[in-house]
Order: sequence, then structure tokens, then C-alpha cells
Amino acid sequence: MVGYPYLIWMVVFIVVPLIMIFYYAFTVKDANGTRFALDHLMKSFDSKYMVALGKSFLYAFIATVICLILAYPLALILVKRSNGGSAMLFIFILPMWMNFLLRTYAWLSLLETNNGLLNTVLRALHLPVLDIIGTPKAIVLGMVYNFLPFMVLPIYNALAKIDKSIMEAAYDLGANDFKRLLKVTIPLSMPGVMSGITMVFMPAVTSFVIPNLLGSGKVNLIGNIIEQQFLLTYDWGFGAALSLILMIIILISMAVMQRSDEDMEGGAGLW
Amino acid sequence: MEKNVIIRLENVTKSFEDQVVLKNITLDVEKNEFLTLLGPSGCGKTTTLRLIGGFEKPDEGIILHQGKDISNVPPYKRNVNTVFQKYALFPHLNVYENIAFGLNIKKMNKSLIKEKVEKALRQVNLDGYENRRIEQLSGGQQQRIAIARAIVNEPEILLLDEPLGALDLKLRQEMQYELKTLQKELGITFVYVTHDQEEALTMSDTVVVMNNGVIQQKGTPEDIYNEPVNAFVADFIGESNIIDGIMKQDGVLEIFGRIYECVDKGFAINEKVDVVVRPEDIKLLEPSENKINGQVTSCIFKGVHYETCVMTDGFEWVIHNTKNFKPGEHVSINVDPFDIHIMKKMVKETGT
Amino acid sequence: MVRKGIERLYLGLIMLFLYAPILTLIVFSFNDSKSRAKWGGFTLKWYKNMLNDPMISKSLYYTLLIALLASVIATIIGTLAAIGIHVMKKKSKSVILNVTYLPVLNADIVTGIAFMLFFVAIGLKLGFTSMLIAHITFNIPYVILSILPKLSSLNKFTYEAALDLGAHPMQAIWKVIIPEIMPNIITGFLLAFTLSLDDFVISYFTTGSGVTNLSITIYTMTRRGIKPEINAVSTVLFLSILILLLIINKRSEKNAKKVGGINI
Repeated sequence: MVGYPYLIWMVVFIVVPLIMIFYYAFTVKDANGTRFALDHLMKSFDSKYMVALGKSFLYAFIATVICLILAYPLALILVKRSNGGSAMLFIFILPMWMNFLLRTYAWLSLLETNNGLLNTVLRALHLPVLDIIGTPKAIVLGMVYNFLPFMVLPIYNALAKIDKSIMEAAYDLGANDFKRLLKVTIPLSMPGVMSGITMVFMPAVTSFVIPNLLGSGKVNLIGNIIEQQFLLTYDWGFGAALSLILMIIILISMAVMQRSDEDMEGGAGLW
Repeated sequence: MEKNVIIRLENVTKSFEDQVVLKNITLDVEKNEFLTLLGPSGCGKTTTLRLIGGFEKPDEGIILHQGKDISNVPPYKRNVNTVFQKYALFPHLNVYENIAFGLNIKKMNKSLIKEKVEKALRQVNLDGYENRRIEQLSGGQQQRIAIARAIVNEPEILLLDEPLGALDLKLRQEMQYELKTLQKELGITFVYVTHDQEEALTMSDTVVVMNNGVIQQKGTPEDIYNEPVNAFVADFIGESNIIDGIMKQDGVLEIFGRIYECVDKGFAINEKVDVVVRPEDIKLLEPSENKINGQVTSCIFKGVHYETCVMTDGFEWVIHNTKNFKPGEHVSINVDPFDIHIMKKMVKETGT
Repeated sequence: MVRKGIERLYLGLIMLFLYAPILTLIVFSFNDSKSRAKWGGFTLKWYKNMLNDPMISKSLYYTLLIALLASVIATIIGTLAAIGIHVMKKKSKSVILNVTYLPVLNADIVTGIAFMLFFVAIGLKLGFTSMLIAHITFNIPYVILSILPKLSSLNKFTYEAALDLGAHPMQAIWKVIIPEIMPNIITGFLLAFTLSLDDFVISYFTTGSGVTNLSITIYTMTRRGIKPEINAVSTVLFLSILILLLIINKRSEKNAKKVGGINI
């Protein structure tokens, strides 16, 4: 009974807006009024947009892999520390509380080819200068930078949950550090890895701010194209169709991920 | 007389964050014996086990395995396996994979592994359970799998850390019997940790009673029960009546101002001692002059016996007998000199 | 020993990676030169100027106002919702939870666009109200997520005991359930507040008629160059959140000790 205000809120502000996306995606407006049509959806399958979608998935995938490679050892080191490393963990999560846009923008000042801080240092050390602003490399860097904490957190939680005596049992049965990592630690932390992957991949694939800022608008990802439909070309129907496709891909992949670790307790906690 | 010592802890001291858990312990474990470390929680028994397993390193002292110092050998290089308190089975592996874990690490040939796993399962009476998932098993079954997982590696020593603690009474008694049989069958050394004195007495060849990080007594179950060396052991092993007494001279004891005959010797004249009398060694008779007389305060039926409490001189005795007394009845306490156990006063530990 | 060293180095490198941009930002908020690359001497003028800039002070005002209103409202609705969902039958519970998680799982850009289309369709002018509604909506799931696990770990008999002792169901919730889940309500509130404070994408699509928050202002500025005042504002915000988090951490640590928790 106490839940009723929320139920109403939920239907009005979650369900109905999503229906609006379907509505715009499947209708066209012309002189005869609004009618059902698949025009927007068909247009979405144009190679131009599919390439952008493909690129988004590719960059997001690379960023996710890098995050995983960086985050796993980090989480391992943190969990091993005497107090559970929670104070240290805090330090690695803290950057999330600096404004996201500003943090990303700060990379511009660091990376600028001519007088960026990083290149000034590199030049002083007589090292080759990094010229990556406006390239996919910068975009991937921005994704890794922004979403790394999302990978660290669930993996850390999963590792911290593993019973100490299970780790000792592996030792007891003859596994050295490396074998234990391979045969016990990694398999047991898989639920955390899975939720880390979703938490990084999802925002990376749909981001339009990072490509806008660090790609200097030269690289168009699916998020940028959707943004342009609403705020530049005002082709809302087409924008809705693209959003719909994106949403469906995301929800399907989430469902698949969820199934793969169904028997483990899902949701490693958002904190 | 040098026996066949397999593990020797020599002057081992261990503390955690300035709390001393083991104080200069020396302990020999003999080959093929069933040795039980018995004591209340926090007495250091689990730490002793973990030192043997290699999960802790001694702060001082050394651990010898057949004369060789193994204090710094990691657990995965010791031919010792552990049955953990809460089993510590790998949740991501099934029964077969759990038991085969150690053998797989050793890169043993697959068909040999299969053979050994099946044998281990048979030994714990769970043949046919290979493909079960761990969470499908009951507590007792998980316990058996944990044992199978350890013994399949054919360790020289099996360490068991309160392995029956989580089981219900009936199952626990069954498992006690099975463990003892298993130990004889395997012919290896078992080091067993428990706080349950009955468990210790039932299964062990040797019982080591510990308290406050110190070994109180080591001996056969009979020795420990019948000849406890101090009041702590006496009290911990079964119920006891512990009374303050004064040793007047060899064979003469004073309790509550009365003189009694006893068989103990070798105390200083007028030394203050603890006097221990087991509840089943007391006979309740009619009150009479030269005896400790008192009044029954309660009498409860316990199945095999009645537990009667008698108040005398401000001390409440616990007595096991077969007759139903009524509260308020006047009785006298009678003990054979042979059943009076005299112990040196426990040195009170300063702090904990 | 070598291993410890490698571990330290690794932690240090990642920390450098994460903090380099933030440190440059903070350092340049004290830079006398407007350049993002050259150091022109120490100054506090951007901190003095930041509140005089109408654009910045307006967006700061909206950011804080919306974050506060949205998180308070979301906390109230979300807490009641969590209690309601908790007692539901399994089937309806799972349906409702799945819908609830949609805004969490879905891409921000899709959520933002859905709101925008919805507000336009019902004829609500994009602006303060639309942005507030959007923020409340995306905050509620996080509040529910913070509270629900605690509810299922509660001893269900305490509620029944309260009823047995003569409490009305509402009283029982208020006097027994709410106090027990208070720490989680606070967590949910803080989570909602910080999410709201930092949101860009959803705000970007649901705002209009001159209502902007800090993120939107920053995004607009990135095209023409960021004013150093923004660095100053962000530094202040970052430090205030840092202090807030430290206080919370201290408090929860104390609580954990009081309960005798072993999760230290």
C-alpha cells in the first residue's frame, strides 16, 4: 500500500516515456497526419550509421578490456592489504566525484600537442611527443579514465567476499600463488568481473561527451549521431529509432550477461 | 626415550597484534597417532593447528617435521592437509572437481585421479556424488567431502579444525566413530582441534589440554580424565567439584576445617591446594559426626542418573547418584581417599 | 619485498593516471593566467570571481537546488516504494523491480531522450520542472537499491511484534522499520544527491528556457574555452564532497565497531 505513489510514478515516468520512443520510432508525420511506418528504422540500417555503431562497440570493447586488465590487479592488491584496503579503495573511487565533463576536459590540457603538460614533460625528456587528440586513441583513453572505477568496485567487492578459508584450502591442497589465482580466485570473482564489464561497457558505448571533447568532434560515434538528431537536425523520429536499436542491443546483452552468472548473487553493489 | 616424532613444535610463541596466543609451547606429535588439541575458545588450539598447516609462522621457536625445520615452508609445499572448520569447499566446483583439486595441481594422470577420487568418496560413504554441486549437499555431506578432499592427497598428517562443530548431536556422534575408523584405516596422523571434551575423550590416542596459550596437560584420555594435573583440566574435562584445601602433610588433607585421609604425596606442609572430586565419586549417606554434612538443594533426573546438589559450609556440591533425594533432606558427603584428587593451586594469569 | 615494491609502483601509477587531470584542474584554478597550459603565478581571483559570474552562479544555484529537491523527494518515494515492494508477492515484485532497474541499466542518453519526447508530448515546457522530474525518476531506483537488501535481512518478526503490541501498521513501519533501515536511507539519499549533482546527459535533454546546471554550463563552455572560474567552483564542490564522504566514512566505521562488526 505504501508503494502506490511509486507505482504511479513508475508507470508515468518510466514506462510511458519509453513508449514514446517506440511511438516516434515507428511513426512518420506528413501532410496527412501521423501514421505507422518503418522509414526511420530502415534508415538506421544505412551503412553510415552501422559503421558508427560498429565503431562505438569497438572502442567501448577496447576500453572495457583495458579497464579489466588495469582493474583486476588493482583490486587484488587492495583486497590483500591488512585492513581490507577500504581506505585505499576510497582513494581510487574518489575521482568520480569531480565533475565528469571537467575531468574529461582536463585531459585536453594534458594532451594538447603543442603546449599540453604531458608533451612538455615528454619533450623535456627528449621523448617522442604524443599526438592523439582527435583520434580514437584519445577517446578510448577518456573512456578508460572515466569508467575505470566502475570496474574496480565490483571486482573488489567480489574478491572481498571470498571466504579466507577457501583461499587457505587452495594453498593447503598444493596450489601456489599463481595456480590459486587461476583456479580459485578468478573463477570465484567472475560475478564481479561480469558486472564490472557491464558497468564500463554500457556507458562507454553510448557516450557522446567523450568523443565530442577528446575526439574534437572528428570521430562520430552512435551517441553523437543520436544527439545530433535531437539538437541539430531535429529528426526526432530517426533519433528515436537509433535510440531504440541501442536500447534493445543493450538490454539483450544485459540479459545474456545476467544469465551467465545467474546462480551467483547478482549485483555486486553500486558503491 | 625418543619416539617416532613426526611433528615437533619447539618453544613456539605466537601473537596477533600484541595479543599473545601461544606462550612458548613445546609439543611432540607422534607418527600415526590421533592427537586432539582441546581447550576453550581462545586457548590457542587453532593457532597451533594453523602453525602445523603452515598458515601462520611462529614469532619465536621452530616447527620440525621429522627433524627438519619447516617453519618457513608455505602450506602448498607441506605434505599436510587440512579439513577446515566451515569446510571451505570451492563453491564454483562440483564434488568431483573439489576432491580432484589437489591431484590436478600435481598434474596427476586423469584416470588415476578418477580412481583416487572414487576411492576417497567410498571412504567417506558418498560414492555416486561426483556430479553434485556443493550447495546441494547437506552440512554432514559437505563435511565428508571436505575430508575426502584432504585425504585423497595422501597426506602424512591430517589436520582437522573443529570439523564437527556445525553438525547436530546425532550426526556428530556418528562422525566421531567414522573419523576414528578412518584414521585407523589410513594409518596416518590426525591432529584434531575441538572444544568438546567428550569428542576428545572418545576419539583420541592423545589429548592435549590447552588454556591461555599454554599446554596444561598431555596424556591419554584416561590419564586426563582420571588424573587431571590441575583444577582447570579437571573442570574442563567433565564436571568437577573443586574445593580449596590445605595439605597438612603427605596423605592428610584439611577441607572446611576437617581432616581427611587422601593418597596424594609430595606437597609442602600446609600448602594450599585445589581439591577435585568427580560428581560420580561421591556417595550421599545419612549425616554423621565426622563428615561433611549438608542439605539437598535440588535433585534433577538426568536419565542415567540424578544430579543432586548439596549445600555444605557455603559450598555447593554436584553429585551424580541413582537415588532420588528430596530438597531439604540432610545428607553427608562421602568420598574414598582414592577419589580425592589434590592439585597445585593454579597460578592466576595476569591479564589475558 | 620486490613484490611489495611492484605493487606499490602499480598503485602509484594508477593513482597518477586518475589524479593527474584532477590535480591540473585544481592547480589551474589558482593560475593567474587564463591559459590552460602556462603558469602565470598564484591567484585567488577565480574564487572571488566565481560567484559574481551570473552564468556560473545561476547554474550552481540550479545544480544545488535540483540535487537537493530531487534527492529528498526520491528518498521519500523510494523508501516507501522499497517497503511496498518488499512485502509484495514474488511475481509482481520481480516485474516491478525489473521496470525499476530500467533507468539504471538503460543508457543515459536513451533515458534522457525518452523524457524529452514525453515532456514535449504532454506539453510540459522543458525547464526546471521537467529536469526535476527527470532527476527524481533516475534517483528513485538507487534509493530502492540501497534499502531493499537491508529490508530482506531484517527480522520480520519485529514488525509483527510491533503489531502485537498494539501498533497500527503505519506506526509499526514508522517506529520499527524506518529506524532500522535509517543508515540505508541515508546512503540512498547521498547516492541520489551526488548522482544528481554530477548528472549531465539526462539534464541536457530535459532542460530548457535558460535553466542550466553546472554540467550543462561546462559543456557549453567547452566549445568556447572553459572559464577558470569553473575550475574554482569544481574544486570547491569536489573538496566539499570529499569532506562529506570522509565524515560519513568515519561515522559508518564507528557504527560498524559499535555493532561489533568484523567488516573492518
